Amino acid sequence: MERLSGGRLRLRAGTLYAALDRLVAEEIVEPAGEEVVGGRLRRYYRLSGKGRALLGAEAERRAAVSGEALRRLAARPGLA
Amino acid sequence: MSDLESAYRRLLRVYPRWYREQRGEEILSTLLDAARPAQRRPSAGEAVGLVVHGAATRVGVGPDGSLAGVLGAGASPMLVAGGVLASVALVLGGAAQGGPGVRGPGLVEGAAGPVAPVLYGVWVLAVVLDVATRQRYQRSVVALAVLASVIALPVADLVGLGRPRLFVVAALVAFGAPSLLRPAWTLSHQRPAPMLVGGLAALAMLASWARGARGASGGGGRPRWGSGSRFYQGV
Repeated sequence: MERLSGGRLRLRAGTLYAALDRLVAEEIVEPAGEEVVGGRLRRYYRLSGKGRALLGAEAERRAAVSGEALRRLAARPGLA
Repeated sequence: MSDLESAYRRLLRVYPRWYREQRGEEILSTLLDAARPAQRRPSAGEAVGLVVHGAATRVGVGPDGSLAGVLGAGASPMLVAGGVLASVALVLGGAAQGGPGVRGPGLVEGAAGPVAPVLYGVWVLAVVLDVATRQRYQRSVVALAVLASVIALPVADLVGLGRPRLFVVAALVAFGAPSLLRPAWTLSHQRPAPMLVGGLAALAMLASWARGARGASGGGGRPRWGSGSRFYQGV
């Protein structure tokens, strides 16, 4: 998470699992298997179909907002 | 076991046992995988995060302590309280009937009839279904019970038989409200202790009501609930 956000977002384990509990309960993510690595349990999760649809819709909404902001900035360069 | 692992395990004890059994090893692996190579103990931020989330999970207020989490935590105990109230009203409704001109706080007004017993039965059934199906149909069954409560009074007025007391109906609707208002993600673990507390609270409420009833029927005391209300005194 930290790497993906370029160091801007750091998620502690307590916060991470609070969010994960909620996402699993809402069926947005789902367990995708587990394995034992070096004596430790690793459990994997993936986006569900519902989660994929929600994420796609949210990404499109944000892209539309960003596109509109860029379009307006380009139309009035003095504001940039 | 390293010092770091021991420290993380101690912090994870803040979580309830049922949660540790489901997620304990998984969270521990995540913590150890994310630890710095020379890290000897948890950072303050990690410790605070685990304690806050663990405590929130233990008291059942949901992962973020929001109102939604509180509603979720309160839904089952409140519903059990409603079930106890409805059960007592169903069993004692006939015996505690307050007819026209009768002084005292009956659970049913007017002549004996089917409306109030059916309503109380619907509530008992809703609570039994909720517990038996582990909250799977909670919202639907409670919505039906609340709908039955809303139409029970006008229906009873229409047929003139067995009108349930307004304060009982209002209490049942209030007990069911968190189940309808809480978001779906709060449907999680049914813990017996809070549900027991909800049932005992309802019994305490009824005991208080019974003391008030005795006082009212004896003529010397005043009922504790709804004193002076036409619904309480009998129409």
